[in-house]
Amino acid sequence: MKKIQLLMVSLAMLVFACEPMTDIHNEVDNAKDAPVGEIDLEMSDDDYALTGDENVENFKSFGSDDEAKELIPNVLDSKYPALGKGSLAKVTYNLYNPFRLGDTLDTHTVTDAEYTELGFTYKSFSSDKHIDGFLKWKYPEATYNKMVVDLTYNWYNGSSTGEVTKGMVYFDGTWYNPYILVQDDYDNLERVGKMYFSSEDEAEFKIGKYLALVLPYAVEGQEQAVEYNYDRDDMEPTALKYTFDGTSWAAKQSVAPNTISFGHDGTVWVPDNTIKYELTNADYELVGSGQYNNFDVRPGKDDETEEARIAKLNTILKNNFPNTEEGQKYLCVYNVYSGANEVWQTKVVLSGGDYIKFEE
Amino acid sequence: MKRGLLKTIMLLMMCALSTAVFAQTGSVKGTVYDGDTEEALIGANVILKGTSKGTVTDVNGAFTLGDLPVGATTIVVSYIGYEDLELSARITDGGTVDLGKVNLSSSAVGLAEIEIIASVAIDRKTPVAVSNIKADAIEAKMGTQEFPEILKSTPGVYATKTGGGYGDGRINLRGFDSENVAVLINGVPVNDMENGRVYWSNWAGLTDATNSMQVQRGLGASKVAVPSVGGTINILSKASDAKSGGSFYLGHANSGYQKVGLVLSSGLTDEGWAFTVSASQTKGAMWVDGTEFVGYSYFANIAKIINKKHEINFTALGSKQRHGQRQNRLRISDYRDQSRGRQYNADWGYKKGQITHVEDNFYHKPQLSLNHYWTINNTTQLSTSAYASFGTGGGGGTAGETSKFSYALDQNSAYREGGLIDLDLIVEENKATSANGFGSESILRASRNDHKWYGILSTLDKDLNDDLKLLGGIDLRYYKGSHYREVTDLLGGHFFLDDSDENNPNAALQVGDKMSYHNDGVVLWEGVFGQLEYTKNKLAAFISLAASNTSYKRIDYFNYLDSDPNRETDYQNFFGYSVKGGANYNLTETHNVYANVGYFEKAPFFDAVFLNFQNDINEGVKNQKVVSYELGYGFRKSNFTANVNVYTTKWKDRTFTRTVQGVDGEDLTANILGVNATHSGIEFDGEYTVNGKMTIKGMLSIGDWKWQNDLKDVKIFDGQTEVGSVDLFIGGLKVGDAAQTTAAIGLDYELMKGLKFGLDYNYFDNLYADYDPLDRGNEDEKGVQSWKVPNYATFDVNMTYKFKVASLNTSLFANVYNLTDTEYISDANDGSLHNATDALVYYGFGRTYSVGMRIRF
Repeated sequence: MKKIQLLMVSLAMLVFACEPMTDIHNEVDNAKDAPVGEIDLEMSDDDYALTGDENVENFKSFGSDDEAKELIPNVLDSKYPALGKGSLAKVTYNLYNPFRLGDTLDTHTVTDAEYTELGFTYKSFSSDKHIDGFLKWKYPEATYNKMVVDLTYNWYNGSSTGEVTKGMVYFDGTWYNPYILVQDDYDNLERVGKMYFSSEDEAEFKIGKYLALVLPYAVEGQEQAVEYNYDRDDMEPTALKYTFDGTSWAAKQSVAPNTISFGHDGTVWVPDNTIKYELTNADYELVGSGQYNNFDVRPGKDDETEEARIAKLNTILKNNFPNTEEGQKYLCVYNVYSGANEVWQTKVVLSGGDYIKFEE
Repeated sequence: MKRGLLKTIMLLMMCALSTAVFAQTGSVKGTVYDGDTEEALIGANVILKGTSKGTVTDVNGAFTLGDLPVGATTIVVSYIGYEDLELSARITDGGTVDLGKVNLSSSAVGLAEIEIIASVAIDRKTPVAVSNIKADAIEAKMGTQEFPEILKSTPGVYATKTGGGYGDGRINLRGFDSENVAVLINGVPVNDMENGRVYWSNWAGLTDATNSMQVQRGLGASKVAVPSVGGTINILSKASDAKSGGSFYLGHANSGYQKVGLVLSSGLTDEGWAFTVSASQTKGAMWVDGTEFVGYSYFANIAKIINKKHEINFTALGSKQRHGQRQNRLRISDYRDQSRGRQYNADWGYKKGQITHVEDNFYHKPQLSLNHYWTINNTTQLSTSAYASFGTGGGGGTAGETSKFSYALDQNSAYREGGLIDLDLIVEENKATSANGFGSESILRASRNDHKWYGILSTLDKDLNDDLKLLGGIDLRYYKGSHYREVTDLLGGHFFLDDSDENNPNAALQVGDKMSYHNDGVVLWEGVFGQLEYTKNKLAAFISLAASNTSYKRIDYFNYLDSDPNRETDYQNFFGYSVKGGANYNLTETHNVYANVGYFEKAPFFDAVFLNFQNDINEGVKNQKVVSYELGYGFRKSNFTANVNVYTTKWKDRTFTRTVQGVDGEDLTANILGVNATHSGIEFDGEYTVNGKMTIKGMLSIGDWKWQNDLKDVKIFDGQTEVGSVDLFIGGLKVGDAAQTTAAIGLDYELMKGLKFGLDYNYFDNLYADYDPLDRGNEDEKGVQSWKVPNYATFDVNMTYKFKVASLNTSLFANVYNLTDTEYISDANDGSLHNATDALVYYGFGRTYSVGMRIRF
């Protein structure tokens, strides 16, 4: 009987040795954030299909920045479904960028010295490739669809040399001299009496067909740039580049790469230009934390309060990035000592000349 | 025919019976005690001399030996560890001779004398709350636990393994940490002379050398001036055994832990010599990852009885060890993130395939003492202990770009591979900077704390008359501690650049060179004490006084040029004293009550006197003051003993310094008084024996330990000008780092002769995360308690089996700790959120086991 009693007491005591940490473990595990990542994405052709938009998928580019901001989150969700709050993504995509010819960016006559330097002993060009080569050398900073130059050069046509002036446009990596539509052309393109198109789609379609008529002997791969007037609010001369595929002329959607930054707010990706910045030893030194290169956040210490830390971040950011624009956000990453070495982050935004904490 | 046979048999039987009836016999009875501590001895042998007729004392020490022939007889009482005692008795026919209290004296030579130096408390006489743990309990239950953990079922105790390294245990008594708990080994104080702390790794592995441990809670009975605010832990080592022989020990436990040991005793020779030596090696790893260790422990005691008046005793003990540590606490979520969970240790990794501990500890502190006992005459005795201790060693850690070693919250840390430090990467980076002519970016170093400590402790014991005893004595100590950091591993680089030494600026250091700091601390201590004891009939009372002068000197080799006289300070002197008194009154054989009260002033610690890690002297630093009252009651019956006591200890003027700018812009140090704590509580412990084979022990300790009051707008003056003010919002905040409510139930059951089982249940509640009260200057946090760690309970089971192997006494021990593998947090540091999220913690061990075997020869 006593033995049974002993057994009962032992069992009862065992039962009461329950798990004391269960509640806390649940709380801690649930508080854990979704993984945070930093993505640098250059959209590939396949990625455009992830937007869910047919046009974008076909053109492998976005029609506007706003369209990109709206649709790229779909791409990010598909490619990185696990990432959560605090993640940052920098996405480079193709933006439909019709070539509007602005003011001539430069007017230039090729000089003797330039001919010589490039090895043109006869001080003249005799092919488009020469011109393309010269312009690439002269304007290495040429970016997509943005350079327009009026070039005067000596042209050798096989028998004689003469001076020629042509407008040259830099289009998708090559310099072209576009054919500029004249009134007759507009008439032929059923734009009688008007020297413009009011629809880009219409212009693109009709000019493509027109080229087939005016260049019947085109060979596959031949390229032709065309300039027409696009009437939106004002008259905007616009250039298109066509390539002959053997049957018809197709206009390459002129695109320019553009980059937008996104941040994950816990639910969705939203456009966010936050810059992630990790403090350097020089930064700690600047604000008097150079001995251990960290912020001492223990109770009673200098950097315990968030205000103290933000004040130091202000000094650092203003010192390092004096030309920051109002509204720019920085995600500052810094070392702290809390009794153990840790790494903390604080997001601040430039507001009214000072950095304040950015509340999500 | 059958009838006839039956009748004959019955007749024969009746004859036999009648012979028995008409033979003349009697019996003896009595109770056997340990003559020194007056504890009943269970299982002592009582035999009729020259025969094998005998019996064994029961759980109360009582025996009845019957069927003894009438007339003069000799009874022999014997027990392992005690000298045999012969008693004569005249047996009467059918009568019982009552031998009364039979006191056996320990066969250990000199143990009684050690007990005097150590002020071992005596039951129902010394008016202090006492718990005793004897050698056999230590042997059965210690296993792989930390030394202080054997005390976890004692009221007021909170002992943990902290990070879990070998020897890294700690104990708090009534909420006070080791700087306020006096630890004595054979009466010699071992608290560090500079910071008052006790490092249990110095004694790890010395369980074999321990004869008994006694915890005196509160002010204690120690005559010597010791910091027993929370209490005193008296560890008595084994003295030389009067019987020759020895034993061999083999132990094995989880995680590859192994122990092997040998004890040899010469026994008491005719010329009066006796020696006992023991040596053991313990190695392996502990339950937590990265805690591999090796320890060599030794103990030697040589005793010489010169004559009836003089006895000399020499003891040497020490434990040389090196162990990997889990130094850094982590957040609960950090443990949850790691696959190794509770066992995860962030402070180690592999370097070229070898396990490398980035945090470790290595120390060797041999403690030698020469004791002399002089019985001057019938009433006077002089006990002197001259001792020396030489500590060498320190703690390993990191230097330079230490962030490479730390556990970063960023899970993508380049320096972590599977949770471990990628030391090979750190080596690669050091090699790269070396190629450019720079020193190592990150290195390993050791913080060394060597010391030499000499002392003499002498007590004169004089009986003034039958009732009054006077004790007096002196306590002199000389201590010199040497503190410096040294480079231990350049981790692939050619040198380490250090600019801390004024005498050697911008030095390119090699392994073994000193870096960061190098200073010595010298402490001189002179103490005198006196005690008057009055014992008459039922009353025992005492009053004692002790006074001490502490002198501190600091020598700084780095911050001052060798030619600078400021390199060495003058001696800074501090006077401390204590007065205490108490009385015990034995109401009856069963009940006794006692009370004690005391006041003492503690000299400030070394680091409070010298500020800023330099020879800047804190001019106005004050003593800390302690007042304590205690009331107790004891109940003693044959099968049930119980104690209840209530206490209040007030700790006043804990050292609190603030640096402000004076009127001329210079740094001023202000010593702010008024940081007070009150630790009160009620403690109960009891032991009940059921049917002789089972013992049930119970303990309940309820403490109310808190910081007393806020400090509001305490003004700091430079002369007449107010230069600053201080606020501290700590009123009502619970003291952290010790469970204020503890309970324990222990069951010991003897299943059959030699086979015992034990079960220990321990419960811990009201544990608040640790924090520095001096950091609580923010009024917004007034009244906000630090995080309350979830309460928890653990089960330990043990088995002891004693049997003979080829006539050698053999004992087999087995222990399982935390049988239910409860997950719990034993230590926590409070974070700024005061909750579980940012607390930095250590988890307690999971289920562990140990087995051991001792063969005596």
